[in-house]
Parts: sequence; structure tokens; C-alpha cells
Amino acid sequence: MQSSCFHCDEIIPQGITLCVTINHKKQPMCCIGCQAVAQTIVDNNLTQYYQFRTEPAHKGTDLIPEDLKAQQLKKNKLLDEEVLQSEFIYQDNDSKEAILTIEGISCAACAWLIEMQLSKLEGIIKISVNATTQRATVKWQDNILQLSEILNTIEHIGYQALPFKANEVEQRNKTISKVFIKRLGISGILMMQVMMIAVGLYFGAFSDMAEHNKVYMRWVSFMLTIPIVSYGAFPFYIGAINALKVKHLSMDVPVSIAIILAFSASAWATVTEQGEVYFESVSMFTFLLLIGKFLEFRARSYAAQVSANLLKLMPMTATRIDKESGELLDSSYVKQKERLVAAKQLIKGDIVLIKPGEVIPADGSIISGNSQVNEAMLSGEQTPVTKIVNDNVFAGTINGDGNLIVQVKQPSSQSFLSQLIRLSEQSQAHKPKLARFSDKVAQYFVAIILMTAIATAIYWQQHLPEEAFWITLSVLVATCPCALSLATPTALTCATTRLNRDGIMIKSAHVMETMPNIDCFAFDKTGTLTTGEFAIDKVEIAHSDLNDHTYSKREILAIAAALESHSEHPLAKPFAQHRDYGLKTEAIAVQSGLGVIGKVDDQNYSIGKASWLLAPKETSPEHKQNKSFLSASCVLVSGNKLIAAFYLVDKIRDDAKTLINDLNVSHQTLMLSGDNQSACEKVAKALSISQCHGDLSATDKMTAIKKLQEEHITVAMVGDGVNDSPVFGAAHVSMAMGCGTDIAKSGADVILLNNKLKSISTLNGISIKTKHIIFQNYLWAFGYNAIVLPLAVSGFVTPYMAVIGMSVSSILVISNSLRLLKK
Amino acid sequence: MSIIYILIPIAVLLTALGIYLFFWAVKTEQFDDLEKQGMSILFDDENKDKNKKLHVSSEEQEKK
Repeated sequence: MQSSCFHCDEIIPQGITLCVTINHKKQPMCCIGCQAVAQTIVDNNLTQYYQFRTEPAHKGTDLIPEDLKAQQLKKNKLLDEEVLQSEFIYQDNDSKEAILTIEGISCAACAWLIEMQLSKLEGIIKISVNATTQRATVKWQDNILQLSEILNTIEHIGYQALPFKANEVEQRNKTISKVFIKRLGISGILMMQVMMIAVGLYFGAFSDMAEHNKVYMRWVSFMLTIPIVSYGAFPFYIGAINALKVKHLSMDVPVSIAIILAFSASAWATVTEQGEVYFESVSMFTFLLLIGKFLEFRARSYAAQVSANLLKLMPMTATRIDKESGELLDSSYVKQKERLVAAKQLIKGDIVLIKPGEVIPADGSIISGNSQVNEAMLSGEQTPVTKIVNDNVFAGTINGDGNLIVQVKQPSSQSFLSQLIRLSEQSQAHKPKLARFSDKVAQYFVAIILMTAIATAIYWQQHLPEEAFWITLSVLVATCPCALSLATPTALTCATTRLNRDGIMIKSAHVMETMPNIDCFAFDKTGTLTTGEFAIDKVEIAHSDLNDHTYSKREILAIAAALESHSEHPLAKPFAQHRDYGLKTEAIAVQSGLGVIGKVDDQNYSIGKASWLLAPKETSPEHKQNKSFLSASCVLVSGNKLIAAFYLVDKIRDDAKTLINDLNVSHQTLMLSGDNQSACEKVAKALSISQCHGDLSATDKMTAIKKLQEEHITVAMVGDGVNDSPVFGAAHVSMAMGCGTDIAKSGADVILLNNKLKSISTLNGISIKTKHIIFQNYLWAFGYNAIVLPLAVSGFVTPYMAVIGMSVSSILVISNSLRLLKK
Repeated sequence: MSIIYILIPIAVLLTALGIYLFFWAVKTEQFDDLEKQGMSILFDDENKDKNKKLHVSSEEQEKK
């Protein structure tokens, strides 16, 4: 029998025997989730999906307990409310339209599957799924269908859909991209026509073509070129004007000058029926440059789209406790009604109930209950903080395993979290920038070309006035900055594409040029250098033979996993991989902040804090031995006997050591963490990071980076948490881990989607290589211009030579850039 | 050579038609997701698919 799941291709855990009949064949499934999804697909006659998919599906939502599922449905239901919908829905009479981001799309077959499944719903007007951007556009009739039903349908076939609102940048990108494609199409199609006629004209120059034919063909090319120079090349003019407005010369300036001059001169030649025409050069030049610009733009907007997908627009929800009308704030909470509301609607003084594992919806103070709260998102400290009555809790942090009743102190717009977001937006606006190399080059280049052209014009005006204009023009065409202006964009595009393939998303254009100049790499600790998740480091078995049974390590881990699967505590998570579904658990009780007690295979066990389970019997003979286990993270006990002790650590990422060693060779390394100093030093020592600062708040981190920058040190920051986002704005280059928080990712310049620190070395290497390639490109472009300029000035360059030279040097530059695509 | 007075305008007209179709394709978002469009040919149309499946299942029932 096959041992991997037919649906998601993961290994089937022990003790699971599930299957679904697909195309008359029983196929094994790894979990109830996968089984349910596969069954839905079969029931809807959509098994073609399995035939044509190129990637395995994502794992079906794992064993969702019924009540949690009901809650998810309730949350989806909340999205039907008008107040919330106004944020992301376009209403049109009685139909509504929304964009959904869909998690779990792995290939084009998924898009088909979702489209088919949804189009079966009554009330759907239009559905189109984009597999590349992982989004769906849905239009439906509001009176027949609710948004929540659509979301539920998508969930049934194993995908997670959330409403999504394209941000302004992205909406702009979409229109720009459409216009870009149009410009490219116009330029490309017309260029081919102009080229074709140019061939005729070339032949005509050698054989005797009748004058009226020549004039006719010139007029036709003239007409065909007008849309290219007016519509196609429009972005270059805008760029040039914008640059000139701020008294600056960018690459767009010489490009625009060359296009306009060459076109006007050719037009003049056509009208007066003398001289040479350069229509084919103008069209080709414009088309090539547009391609370069478009590819660069597309690579960047793709990265922006992917990172925007990571930002989910699930409104944070809260369970508000409403008192029955007329009743005052009295001591008991008997006559209350629980209502699910959006966190946004909470106001000061509201009472909310926070269940285990839920995200705390607002800043407030606890009025009853106690629990452990994971504040890693704000502080970077991974170990949960114990919170009791009257303690403050913050929006965005995650409740551990106790129920909390919290009184809201601030509305969500003033919460600590929103303040951090505002701080990061502010610092983003003052981001330090290094001047772009291409713009620096352009300034000198334009100056030289214009001065030479003017000098040539003046010289020939005095010596051979009738030829002066044409010679000056050939100077401008021959030195046409085609290769020069392709030098940077082609190299950057190839580098970005290459990095995308490795799971490194470049969001900002300046990254590739800034990276080689970085002097210092700053790292966050938790979640960046470490995995941010606990891992079982060591298992010590104290008594292996207990209850007439000898325990193996595997059994012990399986028992521990069975118990811990009921806990929300971060320390419970690493056990999940050892789960054996054949073990029966009964009478489980979770003790908040302490551990779990329960029956596994009719045997009583408890797992939890060593101080809780081992402390009491000081007189027992085992006390001495037990004492040595007190430092363990958690212990497994049966009856009063200790079975095993587990040591868990926040594991340092496997590739952290190699990366830091690589970086230490030529860079400074620095650690900025919100965790306590001693924990930081331990990691810093293990990784040989030269400087280490602990106990830092988000603002402290920013000041630390700014201080370095005042010493003219270029800094890159690598982080993952909300508390890193203000620093991201301050650093020259910021990198966020793909598993990091949404806010961090939206503020970062680079997203390491593959969560590998090694990517930073790759990025570093590629950026240096890109710098070399750009340099080579410039060298060639300049060298060519340096040779051709004197020839053109002295009037030796014919139009054919100018065109051939220009094309060859452009092709050379492009092929040189393409070398970056190779691994 | 006077044929070019007819042929070139024809070529220009065809070009204009090509550009019109291209603009239409851009407008209807056919350039948005190149991956899915390429895949769509593999899947049968929905109706045809349903009939086939129904046919198969009825056959199965007969066997039983």
C-alpha cells in the first residue's frame, strides 16, 4: 500500500486508515481533512483535477474540532455584515463584487477546481481565478447568495479564502501594466511594418528605385512611426520632464532627446525629400527600451503582489459580553450574552471574552481569569508571559490556554499595535537612499553628448553649412544611448528573476544597487536567527519500566504528544510530529500555565512544568533524583513516578551559523533583540555575532540603527516581528522572513519567502555579480560610443553603420545581462 | 512596382486590425494569467464532463 496521502502527498501517520474512492480506485488519505476535501471533489465530479494537477494539494485543514469549525463559520458569517463589507466590496445594484485571496493554490488545476466548484453555486454571476497571483474575482447576486457561503464552499475543497482589498499601489500597478502592454503591442506591431519597409528602402538604395516609390515608402514609414513616438515612447518623455523639473538629469533625458530629434529629422527629410530617414532606428530603439522597462516593472509588481497576498484582511473579531438591558455592572456575569463582533467596533469599557488560542482584539486589562500570553509579536520574547487579574494585555498578542475576560481600555485605532504601525510608516517616509548609479552616469553622458553635438554643429556650420544638420544628427543617432539605457534595467530584471526562483522577493528597486554597499548586517533574534518555535532538544528517560510495561522513547513521545495536542502552549507544539493516532485519550484536563492531565490507553498521565509535577513530596526517596530534572522544560509523570523529562529550546536555524561566518568575513554583524540580554548573549556567542544588544523596544532598535548610520555605516536589517517594522524603515535595506508578521513583511524591501537565512548570502552574491554585470555593460556601451563619436563628428558614419552598431551593442548588453539567470 | 500602392495600404489595414484585436485582448484581461489559459484546454467542458460521469456511474449500477 502506498504510504503517502493521495491528496497532499504527505506521509500518512501511524494508526490512520482512511481512504476515498477516486476514479474507481481506493486512494489512501492522511487525515480527516484531506479525506473530506477529496470526497467533496469526487462528489462534485471534479476528479479531472487529480489527472491534470502538476503539484500535490495542500494538506486539508487538520482535524478541526467541530466547535472550532463552527466558530470559523461564525467568523465568515460576520463578513456578511454591511459595515465590514464596505471595506472590500464593490456594489452594483443588487450584485456585489469582491476580490479574494486564496491560500493553497499550487498549480493551474487548482484554479480550474475552484472555478468549477463555485460556478455551481446559485447566484454566482462571474468567477475568475488567477493562479499566478492566487486571487479570485467573484461577482454574485446579493439577494440569493451570501459572501460567507462562497467562502465556505471554497473551504470545503481545501482552500482558504479571505476577502482582499488591493492597496492603492497595486491598483495603480494594474492600470500601468495594462497601458504598458498596449504601448509594447503598438510599438512592436508597427515596428515590424516599419522594418519591412526599411528593407525595401535599403534595397532601393543599391538598385535604382524610382524616386516616387522611395518618397511613397518614406511617407508610409513616417505615418507608421507617429504612434510609436507619440504613444509608445510617452513614458520616457514624462520621465524626462519630471527629472528636469527637479533640475536633475536621468537616463530618460538623452533617450527622449534621441527619439524626438531622430524622428523630427526623418520627418523633415521626408517632407523636403532630401537627406536620410531613421524611422526604423527610432521604432526599434523605442521598442527595445520599452521591453527593458516593462520587464523590470513586471518583476517588481509581481513581488508587490505576492507580498500583498500575505496581508490578510480577516477582520479581527472579538467575543463581546453584552449585558442584558437595564442591568448595571454587577459582580456576577450570569445574565450576559456573548456576541461576536469586529474588533474595530470595540469601544472603551467593553467587556470581551478571550478563549484559549485566540488573538487578543484590543488593549485592555484583565478583570477575571488568568492565562499565559504570547507577546512575541511585540517584544520578541518567545516564552509566554503569565497574566493575572489587573494585568494589561495588548492587541495582537495571542492568548495561551486560559479563558480571559478583559475590559477594553482603548479603541483599536489607539492600541499599542496601531501605534507601532504608525511609527513604522513614519520611519518608512524618511528612508535613507543611496543615489542610483544609472542616474549618476546619465548626468555626465548627457552633458558630453550635448556638448559634442553643439560643437559639431558649430564647426560644420562654418565649414560645410549644407551638411551641418545631417552630420550633427548622425552624431546623435550614432551615440544613441540604447545600450546605455538598457545596461541597468536588463541586469536588474535578470537578477530579480533569478532571486525569485530561489524564493527571494525583491520589493524595492534600490535593493540590488544598495546591497553591495552594506557594511553592517543587523539581525533580530527570535524568529529570525532562531526558528521562533520550540524544538525537542533532549529527552531523558528516568524510569522506563513502569506499570508492568517497558516504555521506549517513541512510546513516551507518542504519549506526550497525545496529551499535548490538547494544549495551546507553544511548548506543546513540537510534540505534534510524534503523534500516534492509534492512542486513545480520555478525560483530558488542561491546567492553564501548568500542564495537561489525562488518560492515555486507560493509564493516567500528566505532563507539564517540572516544578508543578515534581515539587511536592520532598520526603520521597526519589526527590533527590527528581531535583536534577527540575531544570527540564516539561516532564511526563504517571501516578507519582517520573517517566521522562523533555528539554526544549528555541532552536537556532540550521543555516544561521554558516551565514554569520560568511558575513563576518567582510561585514559587521549585530544583534538587536527584544529578548533579555542573557538569552541574546547565548545565541550571539553560539553564532559568533560581534555585537549583541538585548532588552530593546521597537524604538530602541531604530535609534541603534540610526546611530550607526550617523557614522556613515550602511545597514541592512533582517527581522520578522511587528517590533522590527519601525527599524525596517530606518535601515538602508530591510529583509523580512516569509514566516514573519504581516506588518513586517509589508514594510520590508526583501522578503525571504523560503525562510532560509542562507538566502541572504545568495542575495549578497547576486547583487555583487549584478554590480559587475552592470559595470561591464556600461564599459561596453561607453567604449562603443567613444569609438563611434569621433567618426560621427568627422562625418564618416552612414546611417546603416549607425543602426547596425546600435543594434549589435544592444544585443551584447542584453546577452551579458542574461548571464545572471544562470545558477 | 505600382503594386505597392495597393499592397502596402492592405498591410497597414491588417496591422490596424491586429492592433484593434490586441487592445481587445488586453482589455478583457487575457494577459493577466498566462498559466491558467494554457491549462484550460486540458479540461473538458463542464456539460460534456457531467454527461460522461453520469454515464459511467449508471453503467456501474447496472453491473451491481
